[in-house]
Amino acid sequence: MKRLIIALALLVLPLALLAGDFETASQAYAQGRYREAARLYERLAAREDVSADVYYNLGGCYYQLKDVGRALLNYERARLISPRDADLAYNLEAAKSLRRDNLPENQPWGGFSLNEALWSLTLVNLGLAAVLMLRLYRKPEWSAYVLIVALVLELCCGAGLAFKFWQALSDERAVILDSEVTALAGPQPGDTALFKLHAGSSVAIRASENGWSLIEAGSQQGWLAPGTWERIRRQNAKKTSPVATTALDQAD
Amino acid sequence: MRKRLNILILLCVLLPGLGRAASLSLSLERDTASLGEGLQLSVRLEGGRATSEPRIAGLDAFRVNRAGRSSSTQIVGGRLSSATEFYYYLEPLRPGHYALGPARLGNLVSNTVGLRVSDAAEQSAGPPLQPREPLSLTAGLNKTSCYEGERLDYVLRLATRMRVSDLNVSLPPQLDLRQEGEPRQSERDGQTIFELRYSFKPKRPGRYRIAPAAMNLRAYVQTDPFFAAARPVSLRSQGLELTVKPLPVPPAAFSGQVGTYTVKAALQPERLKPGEAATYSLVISGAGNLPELKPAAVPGLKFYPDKPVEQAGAKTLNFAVVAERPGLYRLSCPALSYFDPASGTYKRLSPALQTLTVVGTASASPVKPAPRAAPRPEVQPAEDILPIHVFARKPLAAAPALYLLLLALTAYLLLALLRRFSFSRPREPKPLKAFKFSLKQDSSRARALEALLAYFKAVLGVSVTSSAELTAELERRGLPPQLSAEIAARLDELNQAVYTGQGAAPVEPGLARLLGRLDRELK
Repeated sequence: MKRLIIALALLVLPLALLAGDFETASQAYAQGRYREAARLYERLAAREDVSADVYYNLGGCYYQLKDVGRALLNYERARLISPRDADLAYNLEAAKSLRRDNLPENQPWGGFSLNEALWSLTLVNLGLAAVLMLRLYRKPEWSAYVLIVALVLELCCGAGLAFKFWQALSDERAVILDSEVTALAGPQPGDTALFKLHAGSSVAIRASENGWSLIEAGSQQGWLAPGTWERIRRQNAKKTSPVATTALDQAD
Repeated sequence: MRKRLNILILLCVLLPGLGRAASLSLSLERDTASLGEGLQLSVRLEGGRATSEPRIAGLDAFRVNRAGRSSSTQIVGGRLSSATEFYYYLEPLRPGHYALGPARLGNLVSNTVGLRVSDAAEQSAGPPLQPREPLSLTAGLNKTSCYEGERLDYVLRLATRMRVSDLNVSLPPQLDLRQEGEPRQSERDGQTIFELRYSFKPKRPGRYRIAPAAMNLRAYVQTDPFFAAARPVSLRSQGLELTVKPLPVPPAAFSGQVGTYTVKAALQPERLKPGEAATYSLVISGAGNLPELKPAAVPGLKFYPDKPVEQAGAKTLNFAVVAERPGLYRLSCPALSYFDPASGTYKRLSPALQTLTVVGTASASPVKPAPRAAPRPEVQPAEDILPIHVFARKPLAAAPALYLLLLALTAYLLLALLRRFSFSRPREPKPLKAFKFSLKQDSSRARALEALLAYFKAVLGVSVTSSAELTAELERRGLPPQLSAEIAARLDELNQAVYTGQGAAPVEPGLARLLGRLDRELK
């Protein structure tokens, strides 16, 4: 019994800590301590399986701190998890209107998220398995129709999941974080300056070399120094974004 | 006889023609061209058969596209002449004087032709080219002198008397051109004019030479009354010159806008009660990027902006104005400092003041904007986004292990179901097998009689009930009389047992063996 209580406590403790951090961060935000709130939300965002609300609130913090780049980055990340959130869509548009560059955007279709697609397929699969099991022993007439519907749904959900998976893998979008960056003709600091980009601009990463990245902004291409941008699709969720932490520390 | 005469006449006609010497000639559409301009080269073989393509010397400085071949046969004055022509389209890559040819085909060698290729820039520096028939490309700017940051229009016009397709435009690389609207098409003096409009803003002062724009297309040349041949054509516009003047020293409040603007303000209605909404409109029109204005904050009034509407060179900004308490309010917006290139001076854009009269008593209920106005305010930097979420919804975690488990289960069930399913009809058991199975299930004489009759029906194809009928049938089929008698006796025995109430007694052994013999005999 004692062991069971300890095991349950160990299971519940991280959730409780998570909820506590979120609440503390939200209180800091409500009291106008946006920098502190952002630091707490960044800590939460560094974990696995981040809630869309964490990114949403983090975006709000950066918006209040007038850091358009990071606000947009976090709103876009929240949209990957919760694509139909009306509040998020509104705030995202608000943050976009503060951008200085007017670049055409390649916005991926966001009707549903990858996890939603996976869960839909799992549920349909469960139904299909149940109908198949029934038909192994009994064959009522209605089960044939249910089986056909389940198979069609399975195909649709499978196609949806494959599409979202492909979309997630091919998402090369990134957001400019620095207030102004210069795209160069090559991946060296002394190369010719081609054009300038400002915080919040959405670009596509095309190649990388020595830490520098070849980006595509509208119809232009140029190389950007490392640390001036961040990918929307998170590649390593284990640690806090070093760029974000540095920016908050510098602001202090 | 008649057939032989026809062959003789044909040989008489053909032989003189075939006996003529073959010749090869090379010709060029014209002897001058500019860089990027296409021209046609043709190689003509007369009096011979072309088994392969000719090899042409001197084409290193050209991009060569094959454009097909044509053959013709003529009988003139009883003489047959045949010719094959090979067509090529050349695009010069470097300026210079070139000698094209000779072309070689087997032992035949053609003449050479000269071509002068001039640099396109040489032409662009001079006056604009006259539209050359039947295709021409011209570029133009709405101004040759402007201020930095001023919006300019760059217009590209293709005039053609031919049918064209697959238009592909290469714009001057140094301009950051933005297309304005869709390409327009019009007819003028029998020509079709395609017009492409772009805008750009020069960022630095200086004198610029704008490189020519290039256009690749396919032009359809009518080769005969019925057919048209598509030919790839490359066109270049003339180069342009532009002088960009620097802006004078700007005032402190300069917004960075360069253009000619006017603004009009309107308020409707001008008189209302607390809690009611009026519409404050700002219409900004002019050339250049139209700025956005916001009304100045007025204590006691709340502004809710609509989405800006931009069309036909005017931007309309509507704001729902809600009064919280009675009073006389003056509505205006902060002046926008801009540079007017027409006058060459800095100006301030400020609409006329509008007066709003609010009469009556303030309502106790919270003020709400008019339903027509957008309920959510337009973006106010760092102010008016929607509040944060105070509760973190648990994310829908991915569970690939669960899914794989379920997938495996479904696949297993599907396979199990498919194993049970068969497209072929179940095979009937063999009569003897069925008889033995029946005896195994129930060895009573009544059951044995039933099974025996079923066996006879299956094997002989007729229903037999008595031993006499059975014997007759077996003899008819030529079976040994001893075997027939034995089987008939067993049938009699079973019949008797059933009709004398001994049907439940077990059947005597050896019946199945007897039927096995019958099976073999029947085979």
